[in-house]
Amino acid sequence: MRLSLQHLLTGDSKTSELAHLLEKREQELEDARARIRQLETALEARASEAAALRRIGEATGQIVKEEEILPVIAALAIQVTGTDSAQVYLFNDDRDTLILRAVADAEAENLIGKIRLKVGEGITGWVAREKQPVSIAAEAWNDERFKYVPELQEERYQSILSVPLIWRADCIGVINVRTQGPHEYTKTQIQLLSSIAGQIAGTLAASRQFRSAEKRALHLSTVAEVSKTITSNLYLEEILQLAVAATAQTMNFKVVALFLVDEDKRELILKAVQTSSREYARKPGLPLGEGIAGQAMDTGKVVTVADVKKRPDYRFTELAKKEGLTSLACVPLKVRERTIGILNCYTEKQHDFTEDEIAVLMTLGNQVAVAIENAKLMVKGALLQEMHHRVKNNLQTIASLLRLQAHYAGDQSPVAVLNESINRVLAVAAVHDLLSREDLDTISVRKIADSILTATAQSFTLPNKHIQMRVEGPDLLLSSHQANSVALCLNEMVQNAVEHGFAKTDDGEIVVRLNELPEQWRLEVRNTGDPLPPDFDPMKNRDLGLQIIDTLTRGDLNGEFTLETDNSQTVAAITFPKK
Amino acid sequence: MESLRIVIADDEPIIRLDLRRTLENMGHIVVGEAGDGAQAVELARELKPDVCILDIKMPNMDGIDAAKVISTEGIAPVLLLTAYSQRDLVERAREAGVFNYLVKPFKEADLMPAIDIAVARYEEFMKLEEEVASLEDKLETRKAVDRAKGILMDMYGLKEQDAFRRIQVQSMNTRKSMREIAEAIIIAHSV
Repeated sequence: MRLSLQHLLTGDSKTSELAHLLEKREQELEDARARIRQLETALEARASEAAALRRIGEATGQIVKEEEILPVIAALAIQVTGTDSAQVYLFNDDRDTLILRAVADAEAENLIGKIRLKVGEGITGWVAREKQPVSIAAEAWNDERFKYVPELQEERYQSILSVPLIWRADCIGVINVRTQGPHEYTKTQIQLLSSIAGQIAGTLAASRQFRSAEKRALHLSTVAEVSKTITSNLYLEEILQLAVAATAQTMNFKVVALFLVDEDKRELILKAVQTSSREYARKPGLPLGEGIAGQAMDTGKVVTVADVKKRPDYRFTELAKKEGLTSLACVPLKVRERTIGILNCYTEKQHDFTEDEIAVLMTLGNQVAVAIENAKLMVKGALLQEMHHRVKNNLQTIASLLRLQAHYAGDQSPVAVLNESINRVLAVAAVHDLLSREDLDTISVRKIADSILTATAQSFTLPNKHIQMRVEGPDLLLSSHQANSVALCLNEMVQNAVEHGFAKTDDGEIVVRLNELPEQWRLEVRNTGDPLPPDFDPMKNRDLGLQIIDTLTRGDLNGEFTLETDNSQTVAAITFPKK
Repeated sequence: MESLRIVIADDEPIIRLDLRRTLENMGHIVVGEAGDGAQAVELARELKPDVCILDIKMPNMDGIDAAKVISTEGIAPVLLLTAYSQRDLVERAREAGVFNYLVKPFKEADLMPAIDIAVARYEEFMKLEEEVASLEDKLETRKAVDRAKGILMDMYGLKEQDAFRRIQVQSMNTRKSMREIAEAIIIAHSV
């Protein structure tokens, strides 16, 4: 046909015009065919895209673990793009590094998890930062963004198509496909890989949500575990130690420290810490209401700090540097509406605390606070029991003293009888008063003596009597039981000194003196008043006061009571062995 | 009311003094005073009192442990004095064979009935013990006599009544209990 046309062309102009028209038609036909081919290819691409997406959907519908989905996706990417290899990179939790998570390349499988790229590093890093695909047909290593990673042996591949994995405007990773020979990526191929990437991103986001739900469940079981551990114990110190240890272990903190409010000192005092650092364990108290802890206590909410080393109001920057502490979650310990302390949780690396983690820490804080309160109440309960017992025992002693007094009263006036009894009760009370004021279970004899002399001066002395009273000598600390006996004896000796020593004499002094002998203590009450009757024998006397002294000295103190005249002074004394 | 010999124990001398005076006023005799549980046990063994009055909280050995020793050795009824009134202590006291207890601070008027009840319960208990022992003995006797009768019936072709009569006669002649005779027959037969 062409031949005939040529023949015609060489003819007249009309035929040449016709020939031209024909040629144009021919051209149009050719173009239409090309369009048809193009459309066919596009259709095919759409079909394979649809198939690929369907397969991804099928795969991801069943599999939720990233390590299982990703290889499937990499294999699919090769298949639908007709390329030789594929890699999937995903961001780490801190979102600053891309990690190779899957490959469709048998030789590179051992590199999974080992290849790490910073944002902006290499072509992959660039794609992640710019959130745009990159395609290079040949000699990808000559691209200025290319970074040579020896392990990947990328010299094997000429072309690259790198597409970001975008989920809700966030880049969560990058997928690359490569060919060994040069390859021009068509718009269709780029679109195809991009839609696969979108699908993958959606799937991964869903799987991450699932994982975070799983993690939340794990966190909740952590809370349950920690609270079970701490509530099964009754001793406060152990609860505190368990609380920090369990928190640090289950939530993977570098240091966990528990501070409790000391209302008197207006400070937060470090009570328990989970750390190998001795220096941290010596951390001083924090003044109430200041700094990060103050903020957590005031708001009653968890306060997080991305990097304590960069916070001007963080007081232990040096310590944090030395121990490698970075992020901090400061958790208030709240019981009802009262904050009783804080729990400081430090991470080694910078960490963004998620809402979930904060919620877990808050719950944990509440649990710990309740456990602490319970333990305190238990201690109070035990203390109350002991107090109850002591009070009853003392009431028995007082009842016994009064009953004895009733037996011995004789012809004393009711007022005198009552006064005597009141002084005995006051002597016992003096010991209790001292016990309640001092934390220790030991009591100063000197303080007992002071208190008895003060009470005596107020109750017994008549206006016309001028009796000086004072305490001399060293001090001695006694257990509460012994102190009770000494107080009662001393009271009787002082009462006798006033009553019998100053019956006639109006002026003089009473001195209570503690003497330390080699093996014994000797507690004397001297008076400068009336002398003893010449043939006085205290053992034959039926006076209750003397009976009490004798009973207590022998029965309780394993000692001895004496009454004698020394230097024209009357000296009543009890001597008892040192323990 | 008869005068009882009493051992008292309390680590507070004043309470002991009060207890002694109160008991003596009631006409009893305080034969011993102890400051701890171990001493109380010693005094009880040595003096064999009619009643022991023990405080619970004492050094060395507490009142309940002392009561257990005194009770198992069958020395005397124990009355406990206690500042506690918790259930578990009362339970422990019961197990230790305590016959009554008084909660501190005690009233003079409560002391007398408390002692009376402790003594009465103890006597009842001892009587029951005796009865149990005698019943046990009777049971053993009967078992032995039955076996011995069987042996005699077999060996001499006796009727049951005659076999019993022989054991009875032997018992009367030798002035030994029927159980002893029966046991002797059983032993002789088994040799």
